[in-house]
Amino acid sequence: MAEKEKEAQDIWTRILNIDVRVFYWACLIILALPLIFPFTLPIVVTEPTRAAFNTIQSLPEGSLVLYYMECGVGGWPELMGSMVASLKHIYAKRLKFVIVNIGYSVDHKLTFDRIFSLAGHPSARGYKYGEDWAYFGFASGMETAMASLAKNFRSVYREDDFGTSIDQLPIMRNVNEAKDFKLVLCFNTAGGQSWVRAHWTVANKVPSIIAVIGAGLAQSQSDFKAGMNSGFWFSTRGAAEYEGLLKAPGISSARMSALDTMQLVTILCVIAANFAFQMSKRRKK
Amino acid sequence: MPYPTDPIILVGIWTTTILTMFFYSYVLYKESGLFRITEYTFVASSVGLLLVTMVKVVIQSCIRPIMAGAYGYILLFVLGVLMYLRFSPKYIWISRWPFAIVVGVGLGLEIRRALTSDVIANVRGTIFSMVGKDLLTTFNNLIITVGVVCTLVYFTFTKEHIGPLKIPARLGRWFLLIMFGTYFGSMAIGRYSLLLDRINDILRVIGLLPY
Repeated sequence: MAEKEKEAQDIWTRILNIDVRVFYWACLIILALPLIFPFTLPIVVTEPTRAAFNTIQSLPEGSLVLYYMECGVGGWPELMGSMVASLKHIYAKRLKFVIVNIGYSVDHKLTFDRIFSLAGHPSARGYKYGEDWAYFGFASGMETAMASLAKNFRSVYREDDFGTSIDQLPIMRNVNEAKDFKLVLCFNTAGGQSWVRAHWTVANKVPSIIAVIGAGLAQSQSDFKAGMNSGFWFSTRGAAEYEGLLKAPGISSARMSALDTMQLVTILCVIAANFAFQMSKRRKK
Repeated sequence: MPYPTDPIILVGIWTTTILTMFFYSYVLYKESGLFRITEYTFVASSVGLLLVTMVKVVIQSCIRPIMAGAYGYILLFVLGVLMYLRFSPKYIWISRWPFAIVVGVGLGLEIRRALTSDVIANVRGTIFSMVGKDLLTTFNNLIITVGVVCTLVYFTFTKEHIGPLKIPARLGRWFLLIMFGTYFGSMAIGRYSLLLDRINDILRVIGLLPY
């Protein structure tokens, strides 16, 4: 009994037994403080983000880009930054773009309201609907639809999201397959990345840039190394790097100091917990 | 952007804030009725939105073409309706036909995708592109190649990991552990981004951050 009490008093065991809710509260506070009292930490631009920037930068004016969004409102915190920054880059380069939503993005209209409110509506940037950009909305079918889109655009979309026939849109004149597009931008939270990779980039040699959430980093990195994407934006960090390259600080840059602080605290917690675990094991022996 | 004054928007942003707090009550305190109300509201509204969107998709991609004279779509429509026979114990066998088509198409695409991009392109990228533009890139590529080979050795169960296989198998395990660590790290960053977004919105709504 005395030994048990002694063990209970052991500092290492006590560290290991801290209620997880303490950590959650600490997360809340640590993330909130840098937002209320902002400070700036340097943001290093990684190779995939720079490659993404260079790919869009190298496109000639008027090139047609497929803006493929496969994320719902749940993907906003991680992908909104890159969605907005890339659209700003498209505007700056005067590229034409076609928006499609295949996969899980049933709430695409909410997402585009938000994107346009942050990046500016195309019409406010001198874009004419039907000629410089088009919005095709949601199509079901997931990978099948994405594969069909690469072969025959009209087999998936016969009309845009407003009910206008695809053949009445000047931007879609002589455009019907993957090779008619110069680039695919894919904003995905689930499978879209692999669909674009296989059916657009590998099969049809259309360059693609992917925006991924945290869970997709390893896959995107290996795809980038293997030349299966022309760059990618990793979550808020990738978007903040891109905003830096565009010299247009946005929502992601403002949040990076909070994220960096939280990551540092997490690393310290992981080290402390592992150290405590090893020490308590040693004591028990 | 100025703080909204429109009553409808105000109700919206305050409802979002309160529901977020109810949600977080689960992890910050314990499961409660408030959490469950929010959870059910979320599920119900998601299902409602999904249903409306899917009905719109069926009308756009199937009903309208039929009305316009593309009668081939009737077959697809019928196949889609047949799926609902799963709810009838007597006719459940008919529903297997449309499902067989969906699974067949999906499998065909998946095999092609897995072979072309997941296997061939990755192998080409890993093994055949080892020499990079500078020494560091070449060294990184070498590590990737060694990592792939050692991890494959670790998953070779037909031969005991002794003799020449011992060290590669152990290295493979280390590579796996490093990969899991990377996954955990990148996942944590993603989750912090989610939390940060909500905190940011809450702080804006309660006036601690400019709207």
